[in-house]
Order: sequence, then structure tokens, then C-alpha cells
Amino acid sequence: MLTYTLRRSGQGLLVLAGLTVITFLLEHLLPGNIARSILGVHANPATIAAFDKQNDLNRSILVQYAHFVDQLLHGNLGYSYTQNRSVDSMLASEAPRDVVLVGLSLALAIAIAVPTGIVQAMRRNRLVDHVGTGIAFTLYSMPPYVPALLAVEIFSIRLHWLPSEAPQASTAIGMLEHPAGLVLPVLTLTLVTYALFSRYMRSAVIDTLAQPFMHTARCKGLPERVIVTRHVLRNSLIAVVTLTGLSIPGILTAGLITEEVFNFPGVGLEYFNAATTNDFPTMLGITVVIGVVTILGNFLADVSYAILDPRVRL
Amino acid sequence: MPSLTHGYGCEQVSLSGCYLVLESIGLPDTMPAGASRRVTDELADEPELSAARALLRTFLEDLPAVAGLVAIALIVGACFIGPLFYRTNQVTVNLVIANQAPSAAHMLGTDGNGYDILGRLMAGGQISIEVGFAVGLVSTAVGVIYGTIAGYFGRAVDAVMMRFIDIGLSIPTVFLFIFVSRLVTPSVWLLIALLSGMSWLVPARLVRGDILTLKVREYVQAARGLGARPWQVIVRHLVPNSVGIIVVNATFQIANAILMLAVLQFLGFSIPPPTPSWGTMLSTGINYLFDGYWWQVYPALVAIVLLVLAFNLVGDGLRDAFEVRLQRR
Repeated sequence: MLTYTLRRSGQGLLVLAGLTVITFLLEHLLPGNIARSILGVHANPATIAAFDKQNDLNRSILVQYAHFVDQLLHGNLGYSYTQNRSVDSMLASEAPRDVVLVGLSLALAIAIAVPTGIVQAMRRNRLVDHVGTGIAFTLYSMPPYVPALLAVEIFSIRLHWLPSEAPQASTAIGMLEHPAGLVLPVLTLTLVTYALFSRYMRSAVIDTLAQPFMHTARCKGLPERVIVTRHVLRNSLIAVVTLTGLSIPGILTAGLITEEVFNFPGVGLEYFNAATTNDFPTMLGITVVIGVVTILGNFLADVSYAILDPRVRL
Repeated sequence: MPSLTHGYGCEQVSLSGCYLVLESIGLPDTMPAGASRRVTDELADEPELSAARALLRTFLEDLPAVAGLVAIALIVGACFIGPLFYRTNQVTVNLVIANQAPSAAHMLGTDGNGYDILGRLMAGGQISIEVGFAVGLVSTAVGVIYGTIAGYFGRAVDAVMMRFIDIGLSIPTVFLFIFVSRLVTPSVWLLIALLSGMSWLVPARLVRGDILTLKVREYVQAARGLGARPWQVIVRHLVPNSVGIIVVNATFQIANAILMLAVLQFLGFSIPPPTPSWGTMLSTGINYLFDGYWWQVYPALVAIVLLVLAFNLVGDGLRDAFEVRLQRR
């Protein structure tokens, strides 16, 4: 276990190094002048030179990269070109609200995907299963903004039940004080996450149902209710853990779109705004952080897999 | 057959000879050797049905998959042949006819610039379809080459090559894509290159896994024993045998590419306007959602979902068909 953890941490660091190299190289090697894209087409050479000097853009790429990594190792993700604040402070204020959005949606998606997966697998190839598969399949084939648009159309425009914009509170707690505005973003992200999960849940339960211990449970006369809760449910939860770890990039991408559609003040919207204003330090910082979250998610998924399923040896 | 694994004896014989030998002892190369004798016996009893025909028959029995295939054919036909008959002006803005509801002159209405929505749908679809197919093709080709090399040579080669895949899979692709699109203005070719660059990892990993299980089969040992070179084993035996995984995944890759393209277009990180695209139509259309101009939103929305769904259905049908084929062996 310890050697495994060490090896995976080493791998994780390698992956992270690769990610920073790729993003950093892309930023600096691709054609296009960073200073000009920030200062505009009418900027004169003197201001461009001043901007380059101020942001170290006139140094060699290796020096710049070394500087970036040095700062990164000291916990400094960079300084925004456009917002006059560090990426760290931006993340500190935006990330908690994302925890609310992603956390709620993830919990809801799991709460829907697990029971439907079990029901579909146990009534395999019956009407319930086909309907469930059809819904999940359609959702899975939609860009994440489609459920968002439909939700706005139905609940905001036609029925006037819910606001089409997320609450603009400055803290995570403040978001929770305006639950009406949270409903549509959370609903959207829940549906998209559910679509990511449900197909795998169904097949995971089908695999579980085919295991020999299911025969044993049936043969020794356990009531169906006990079989479902004690054997099927517990074994399927293992799949949930792995799926959650692996779906992090997908969920965050869907989160970016959800935040854009509902103007939800979070890291995703911040990334979108940074992209539209060519604020490269902010984009770079967020990309690195999301990379770390992804790597950690994969790692935690593997480790908890081994803890939940004693047969797995790391 | 231990003597075959040592690799004697075949150097002088031409390779086509070797395959003749292989085929004459009942090892056609699209069939795992473990099951060969049983299968040849069964085939002798049953009316002969080639693998491709059996596959086609299973596929055609799958209604959703056939519906998907028909939908793809209709959408592709409409997007590429439609503009020849339904001529529209997608170049010059005409504000006199802006935001018109569907009518005989404009079957799906017009948008805020006076562009005909149906015509725009066709033109935008061409890009989605071209990019989708190209990404499916390129990412599958790269993935197959990478995966077979890693899987076939194994050990250190495999370990190193797979670490690169791990790195790639931990990269938040959409975020990276947005990043790049701010540095260079995307063209169709750049979109294809970037989307392929992000998509080939999954087929590479799948193919590598399949090759790992295939390369220890007896027919591979036999081919090696008869003196076949690595690339000959890969091209003649390994890749044809994992064709199921490859084709099924390629279909899903197309669906994913169209979906990802629609996301990027929607966010505005794709080929800049006035080039028509489904995602852009949607993102401009939602500005009018509160005005009740439904025709500016729903055609593009339905088109995206329908096309992606169709490819996913075909992929699912193909997977089932290949699985049935495997079970029949």
C-alpha cells in the first residue's frame, strides 16, 4: 500500500510536470503576441515592450518556465493580466461556490443513478430498463448546455417558477441562502452527471448479479430486499467510487458550461471570462489546479477501490 | 505446438507460403486459434455465412441502430446535397428579413442577421460532419498504431508509452482547447488536429488492452514460429482480430468529436463567425429565447442531439453485433 502510494504520487508529479510543460509551451510557442492580445491592436511598441518587461515575457522561455515552476512550488499560481489580483485569491473566493454546485449535483446524481441502475439491471430488457436506457442515452448525447436551455425555457420562461440566473452571493453559504436560483444549475449538472454514470451503473449491477455469491444468497433463502441492500447495493457502490474519480474532468467541463449558461460565479465562469479576455495566467493557473484535482481524483478512486474491495491488492 | 514457437524453418519459405500453410491447417486469420477446430466443424454443419454477413445481419436486427444509421444518412445527405436545391444567402447580412418566423420563403425562419436558418443548418452541419468523421478517422488511426506498438512489444515500451496516455488523460481537454483557441484562430484543420490530439488516447488504450490478450494466442505463436516479422503479425493477425473494438470505438469517437465541437462552438471558441456552425447558432439563438423566437434555438439543438445520438446508437448496435459474433464462435 505504501509503495503503491509512493509510486502513484511519483506518477502524479510526472503527469503534473507534463501538464505544466504542455500548457506553458503552448502559451509561449504558438504564434500570436500575448501583449498585443491584452493591450489591443492599437498598442504602440513602447507599451508592448513595457508589458513584456513587466511580465517577464522578454526573457527566454526556459527562464520563464523555471520562474513559473518556482512560483508554483511556493504555492503561487500567478497574477491575472486583467483583474489585478492573484490566481490564488481568485480560487480562494470562487472555489467554495463550486464545491456547493458540484457537490450537490454529484450527490444528487449518485442518489438517482444507483437506484435506477439497480432497478434497470434487475428488470433487464424489460420496459423500465429500455425507458431508463433511452433517457440516459439521450442525455448522454446532449451537449451539457442543452438540458440547461430546456430547463430555462420550461421553468423560467414558460412557468416563471425559477430564476434563470444563479444567486450572485459572494460566499458559498450566501449561495445556499438563495436556493431558488440554485435549483436550475444544480438540476442541469445533476442530469449531465447522471448521464455519465447511469450506463456504467447498470452494467456494474449486471456484473454483480452474475457473481456466484448472488446464487449463494438466493439459495440460502435471503429475502430479495436483503439481497438488494446487502449484496447488490454495496457492491455497486464500489463502481460509484471509481466512476466519480474518473468522471472529474467530465463533470468540471459540464460545470464550466453550466456556470456560463446560468452566470454562476465559480471557477468555470472565471476560466471562461479569462479566456474571452486572454488572461493567460488565470487560464494557466486554473488548468494546473484542475489537473491536480483530476490526478488526485484518479488516485483516491484507486485507493478507495482497494479499501472497499478487499480482493483488490495494490 | 512447441516447435513452432522457436522460429526455425521458415526463413527460406516466402511469407505468402507461410500464410498458405496457416490457412490450410484451418487458421484463417480473423479467427482465434483456440476455437478454430470446433468452429470449423460447426461451420461445416451450418450453411456457410461469412463473418461480415453475420455481423450485418445482427446489426440490421437492431432497430435503434438501424434508425441511427438512417438518421446519419439523412442528415449527411441533407447537409451536403440539400444546399444544391435549397439555395440560401449565407454571406450578406439582410436586416430587412431578420428574425422572421418560419414561412414558405424561409422554411425554418431567419436569424437576427437575416440568414435563413435551414440553409445555415445545412452549412453548419457540413463542418460538424467533416470534423466528426475526420477526428474519428485520425484519432482511431493514431490510437491503433500507438496501441498495437505498446501492446505488442510490452514491458518497458508498454510502460513508458502508457504513462504518456495517463498524462494525456489527466489533462482537462476542453480547458486546454479553449486555451489554445485563444492563441490561434481555429480553422477546420486546426479543429481536427486538436480534437484528434485529445481523442486518440482512449482508442490507444483500448487497442493496447486487446492486443495484450490477443498476442499470446496460439495463432500468433504459429505465425511467429513460421518466421513472420512483428509488423506482419500486427497487420495480418492482431489488428484484424481487434477490428470490433476499433470500429465500435471509432463510431463513439465521431459522436464525441461532434459533441465537443458543439460545446466549443457554443462557448465561442471555434471557427469565428460568420462561418455558420450549430453551436454558434444555438448560443446566439438563446439571446432571443425570452422573445419567443423558438426557431432560432430548436433546429440547431435538435440537429446536434439527433446526430450525436445517431452515432451513439450505431456504435452501440455495432458493439452488440460484434459481441454476438464473438459469442457465436
